[in-house]
Formats: sequence, C-alpha cells, structure tokens
Amino acid sequence: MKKRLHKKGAVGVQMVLEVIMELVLGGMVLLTGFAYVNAIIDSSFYDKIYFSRDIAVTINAIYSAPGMVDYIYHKPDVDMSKYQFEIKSGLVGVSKNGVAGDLQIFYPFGVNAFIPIEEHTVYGPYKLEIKKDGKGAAVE
Amino acid sequence: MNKKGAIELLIWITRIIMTTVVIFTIVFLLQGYIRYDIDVFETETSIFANRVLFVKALNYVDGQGRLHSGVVDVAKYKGADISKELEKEIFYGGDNRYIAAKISLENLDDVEKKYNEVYYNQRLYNRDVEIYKAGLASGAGGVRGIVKSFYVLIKDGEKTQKGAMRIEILFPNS
Repeated sequence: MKKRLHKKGAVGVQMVLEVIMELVLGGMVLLTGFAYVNAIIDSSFYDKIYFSRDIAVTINAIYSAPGMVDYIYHKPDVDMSKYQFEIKSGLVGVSKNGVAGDLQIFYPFGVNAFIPIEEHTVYGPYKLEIKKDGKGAAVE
Repeated sequence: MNKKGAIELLIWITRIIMTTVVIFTIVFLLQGYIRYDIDVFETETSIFANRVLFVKALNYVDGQGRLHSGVVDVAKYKGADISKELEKEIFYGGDNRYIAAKISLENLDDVEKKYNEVYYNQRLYNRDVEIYKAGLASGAGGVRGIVKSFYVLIKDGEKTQKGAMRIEILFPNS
C-alpha cells in the first residue's frame, strides 16, 4: 500500500487529515460555546439567588409593616413551580423542586421574636402567600 | 522524526494552544455579560431603617397597645436593655454577621439635651466600623454603609418634642 502511494497521494492524505483535525478543533470551540450558553439559559442558579433574596426582602418588608398583612408573592415571568422554598429560622432557602441534593441558596431575613415565622417548605408552588398577624407569620 | 515532521508538530501544538485560548476567551467574554449577583443593599437598608421606626422596643405604645410609629419613647430609648430588645424584634440569628446599626437621637427643640447612642448588634458594628470608615466597600471583606435620617417626635413623659433620628447602617459584604 505504502509503496503504491506516490508523493502526491501522500500529500493529499496529509491535507485531508489536517482539515479533519481543524474541523475537530473548530467543533470543540463550538461545543464549548453551546454548552456554556446552554448552562446560562438553564438559569436556575440565577433564579435561586433571585428568589431567595427577593422573598427574604419581602418578608422583611412585611415584618416592618404594623398589624396584619397578607401578601401574594407571584412572579409571572419565572416558573416558580420549578423550585421549592424552605423557610427556616430566619433563612429563605431555594432549591430545584424534586431534585435531591440540589444546591440550596439561602438568604437571611430578620425575624420578629414576638411574631415568629412558621418553619415550612413549599414545594413547586404557583405562588406564595406571606401572612403576618399579631401572633405569628407564615409562608404558604 | 524528520525536520518537516517536527515543524508540523510545532504548528499543531500552536493550533491547539490557540484553540484553548479562543475557548477561554469566549467563556470570559460571555461571563462579562452575566451577573449572578443581585444587589439588595439599598432596599434592605431602607427596610431596616423603616423597621426601626416601627419597633415596640423604641417607639411609644399607648394604653390601648397601639404603636405610634416615629414617636420615640425616651424611657425605652434610655433603657439598659434597648439593644437586646431591638435585636429581639429584628432577629437575624444569635450570631448576626449580617447587619449592624448605630442609632442616635437629637432633640431639635432643646439642643442642650443629649441622648446616648443605641446600637443594634454592637459587636458587629465595632468590628466593621473602621473598615466602613476607611471606604473599603468592595470585595468579600468590604463593608458598605448608609446613613438614614428621619424627623421623629421625642416623648419624654408627658412632654413631646421635635427630634431627628440618625441611623447608620453597616452591611458587610460577607
């Protein structure tokens, strides 16, 4: 076989191999780009940070208001049902709903010790209801 | 390996290095447009300051149990346990490394009258105040702060006078 390949043929094979290698390298760049952009589009990490902070700030605002407050927390732009919301000892924890071991993002809020908040986890809600009266507060 | 082969190998190594550089450049450029950090400093400090104006630990509560927001009860303000009472009503956990404040009160009707400063989470305030004053606001060890001032009424027994409350809030980045 080797003997049959004359010089011109060998150069041709080499050129084809080079083109294949270049295509592989180009493909690597494209794949990395796509994978990265895909990871961004998923955006669950950003959503979790956003929700934990937004809900914690909302609870703070509700605590700062006197008397009874009943507030419906709903974000029509984001699918809240993808997440679960844990309220515990002055922290809002957000993680993916039904994904065991998913990284939970926490953000603190200031509890009023005289109006304690109920520790509770809400799984994949369409909306949250944040309630406060003279005796206690809850997120449902 | 002959001379031509060595040159070819060198070219390919350069190409692979260049490809890696291009990949990292793409990732780096994309990262420049993505922010995972959501800054709630302004909102949180405003809410905190408003909360101080609504706490029973500091404000006047009448005989019917109604809280008079922005009417500072001097007896409470001068109380020995004011900081502890404040921390009960705005409780960020036993080891609050999140927010601290210094509250000062000025009597506008009687400027000669002086009131002590009241601290919310004094341990953290003392730890971070110098960092804040030095203007080191960015980075993980940085401390941001803001001063909020409000006109209030100062209720001293039966007497009510005009006053100003100044709340200096410190907010460590981590």
